Amino acid sequence: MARKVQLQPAYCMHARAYRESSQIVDMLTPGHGLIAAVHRGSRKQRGANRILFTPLLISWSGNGELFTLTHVESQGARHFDLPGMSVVGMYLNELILRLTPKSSPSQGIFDLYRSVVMALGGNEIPCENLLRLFEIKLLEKTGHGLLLDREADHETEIQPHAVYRYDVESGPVRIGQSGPAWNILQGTTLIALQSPLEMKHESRGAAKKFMRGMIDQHLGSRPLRSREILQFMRMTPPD
Amino acid sequence: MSVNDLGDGELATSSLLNQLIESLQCLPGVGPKSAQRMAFHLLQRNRGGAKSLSDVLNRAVDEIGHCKNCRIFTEQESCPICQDASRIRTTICVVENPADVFMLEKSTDYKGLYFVLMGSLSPLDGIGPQELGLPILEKRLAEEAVEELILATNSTVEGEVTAHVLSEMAGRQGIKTTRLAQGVPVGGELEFVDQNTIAQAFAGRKTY
Ligand SMILES: [Zn+2]
Repeated sequence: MARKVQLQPAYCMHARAYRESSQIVDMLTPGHGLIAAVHRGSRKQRGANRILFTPLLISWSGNGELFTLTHVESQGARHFDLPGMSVVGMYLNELILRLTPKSSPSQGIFDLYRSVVMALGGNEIPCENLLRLFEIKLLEKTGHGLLLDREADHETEIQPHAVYRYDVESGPVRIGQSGPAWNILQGTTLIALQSPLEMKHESRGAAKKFMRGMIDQHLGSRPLRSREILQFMRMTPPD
Repeated sequence: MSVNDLGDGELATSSLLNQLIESLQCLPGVGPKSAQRMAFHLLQRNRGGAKSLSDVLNRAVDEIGHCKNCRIFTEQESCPICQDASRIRTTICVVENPADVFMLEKSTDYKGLYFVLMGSLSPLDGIGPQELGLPILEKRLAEEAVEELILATNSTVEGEVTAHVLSEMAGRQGIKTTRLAQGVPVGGELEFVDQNTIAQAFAGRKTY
């Protein structure tokens, strides 16, 4: 039996061309998690490609893996319009699509996404800090939460000047010497990651390297493609 | 979704005919019914046309590659536009699709060169800077006397992001970038815009 779902809040994570003039869209919703649906005729509709990073209300029907969108309206303006920000937004979307299980409802993930894209548009919190917050919270909400304030024994407090090796399964283990691996880090970095929004400039490099390694652990062998764009933009040598 | 639509009506008289009908459905907008109509038309009324279609299709697929400079479809190493000595070599217009070049050639008086990305940056579809040939374009900008890069990518999020990355790339080499501005509907793809609108948008491009 075909199911009808009416006017759910949603964000579009990705849209790809489908047949002549339609698209297949991946939508993040609080009540139904990630869903994939056909958006018929959308490539010929004015503005239909502008649904990324915009709060939406959508209705859909159908059953099985691929639904049909029956209604899409924006609930407000796009959260940001700078193309540079869209690259960052694509990274968030890719993380959601890669780390979130399909069709599993999560108000928490939806709220997290909404608050981070809104803050990206607000331009008050450094982008790097928002990304770290998003990564930490998303891992937490998908069952891969990090242990940042205690050692793996869940008792010993993290010391700022000690060196730790972060064991993916159990947490930080104090070690004698620093090293180049992604999971060897200073206590200060772990402490900075406890409140990513307040992170100071000097902690950002180490925090980013650690979170990048951590996310890779949960992605498997397929790398994140949106990182390549960010890298290409930086790699282009100045003058 | 495609063949099953034929359902019980599937033709048992010739498996080759069925194969033909199925193959025709690789064309955009062609479903089982119109594929069947096309197959009957070719076999019943126009075998000569069918023969030359199949010959030229075969050759096209084998021989047509990409121009080494601009990536447009051509069976030569370098395409006629790139080889045309009368074209202005200080301007490169970047488009997403070969169809966009045809459209711009038809509807504008543009006399510069092109670069065809064959898509737009879309990490979730596995399309990154390498796939779009950005390193090739970057090399051209460094080696040729390019003064203006026209960013004629679609006005979709991916098209905008691509334009942004291109403008950063050009900016680092001190090259001016312009972007099609008026006329192209927000969220629109060039392919679906009429010729007049394209001409207007092209004339009204501005510094990006
Ligand atoms: Zn060429």
